[in-house]
Amino acid sequence: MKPLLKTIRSVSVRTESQLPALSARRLSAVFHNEGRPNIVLADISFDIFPGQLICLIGPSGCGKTTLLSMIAGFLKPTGGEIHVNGRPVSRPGPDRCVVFQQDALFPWLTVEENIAFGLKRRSRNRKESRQAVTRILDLVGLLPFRNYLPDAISGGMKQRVALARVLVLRPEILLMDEPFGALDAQSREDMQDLLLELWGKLKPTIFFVTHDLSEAIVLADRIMLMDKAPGRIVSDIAVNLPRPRKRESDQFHLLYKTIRQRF
Amino acid sequence: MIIPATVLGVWTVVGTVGIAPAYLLPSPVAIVKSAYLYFAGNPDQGPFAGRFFNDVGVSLLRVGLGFFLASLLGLPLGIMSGRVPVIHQLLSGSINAVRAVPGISWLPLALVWFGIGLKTTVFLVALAAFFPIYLNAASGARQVNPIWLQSGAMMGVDSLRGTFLILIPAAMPQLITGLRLGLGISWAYLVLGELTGVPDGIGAVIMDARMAGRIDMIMVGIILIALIGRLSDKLLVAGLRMFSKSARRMK
Ligand SMILES: Nc1ncnc2c1ncn2[C@@H]1O[C@H](COP(=O)(O)OP(=O)(O)O)[C@@H](O)[C@H]1O
Ligand SMILES: [Mg+2]
Repeated sequence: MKPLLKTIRSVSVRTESQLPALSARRLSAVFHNEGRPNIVLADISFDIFPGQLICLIGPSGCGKTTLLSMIAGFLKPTGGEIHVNGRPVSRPGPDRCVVFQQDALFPWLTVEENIAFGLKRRSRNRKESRQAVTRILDLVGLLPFRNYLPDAISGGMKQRVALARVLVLRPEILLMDEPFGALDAQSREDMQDLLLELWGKLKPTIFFVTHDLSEAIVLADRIMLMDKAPGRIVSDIAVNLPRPRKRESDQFHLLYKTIRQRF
Repeated sequence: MIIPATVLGVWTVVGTVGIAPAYLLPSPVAIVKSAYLYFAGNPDQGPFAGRFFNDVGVSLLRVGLGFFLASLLGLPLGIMSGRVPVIHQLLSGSINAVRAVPGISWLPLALVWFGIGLKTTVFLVALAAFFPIYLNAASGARQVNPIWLQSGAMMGVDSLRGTFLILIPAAMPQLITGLRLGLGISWAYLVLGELTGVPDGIGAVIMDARMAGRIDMIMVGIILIALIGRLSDKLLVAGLRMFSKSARRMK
């Protein structure tokens, strides 16, 4: 049991001297259905530090997408505050980019044009942009498909493009909402490996929503567990399994079982 | 190809066997002859000879102006009303009321306002073409996948640029549908406007031919409208494809 105690450790107080990359304070979200209030999120607070990969896991309908939309700036919290590197979040912006659950590419643009889209808004230097796009195309393994339209590539490849088009903007926080949920098992594992590889190279802070515990254990530095009605964070677990993690290892299964018992 | 060929065959037989007299149903050969004279004849070869280029030019100008005005108003108003609920509420009541009035009943009013000629025809064409353009633009803009707009916002696109970079390309298939319907209706209302006694235009040819009992020229006029209508539709689609990636790439 000793090694396990070392791998699972509730994160009550973080003592990092760093400024959190993302901090949420007493967030709440209330929707109104025909006049009746529906409390979707209640009193959510957490800090995420630069370069961390956090997985948020919880049952369907507990408010994961709602929380992510508020961080992205698509949705105003009913109460509470969100800060990114000390700045309050008020609207969407390229410092917080989302990889959505469903296909969100522009179908009238090629793979390459989709990836260059955000960069074009920002940088005047065309040559530099092209180089950045080529580099990221290479990193996600899509160089041969740069001129394809999204309709002509597979679901897994579309999510690679979705990942590339935001990574190329070098966001401070990468928000991912069950991005691999719709893929078959093999592509999902490939995508998880790819994400870890990219995370190792580019070191973005990642806030990753999933309802798949194995996925969370493969990826996360830290897993936040949510429960529903109202959505709240019920535990916050540091995952200290050594990387690269083997999905078949005993440690992996033990950790899986232990966390499983909590929800 | 089968149906037109059959119609042509039956038509020729009916004419030659004498079921229908030639002054009611001229033979295809007679019509081709009239069409040729109309196209390439000299004015001394008959009342319609050589009028083609002037008539088509004038009609194209009227349709073009009317369709252009309809698009100029219909596209932006439609897109705004599809995205901004307040604008939709402001516009939809009055637009539906105006739309409920059959287009033809505007004719007397247009004649009083604008007199016989260019303005009346352009007015009728613009009015009729406006509705399909507006309605399709509105529904196209309304149905744009919200995730595309969110994607744009997070990649740093403000709403003005988002309109041109995301909203319009995303709604393009429906914008095209509206424009094509609008152009089709434009030709119908062109003929209506030109039936009112203007001296030139394809509609005027049809009207003059009726007065003169020239069934052959009525048919030439009808066929001409059909051909130019088709051609203008093809040109419209080709033009849109040339200038918009989304028109080229989305179904
Ligand atoms: N725009 C909205 N209006 C009203 N209710 C909403 C809205 N968005 C989400 N909800 C409600 O919030 C709850 C959580 O939804 P969501 O955040 O999508 O959950 P999850 O992503 O965890 O599956 C659901 O019960 C849903 O009905
Ligand atoms: Mg969700």
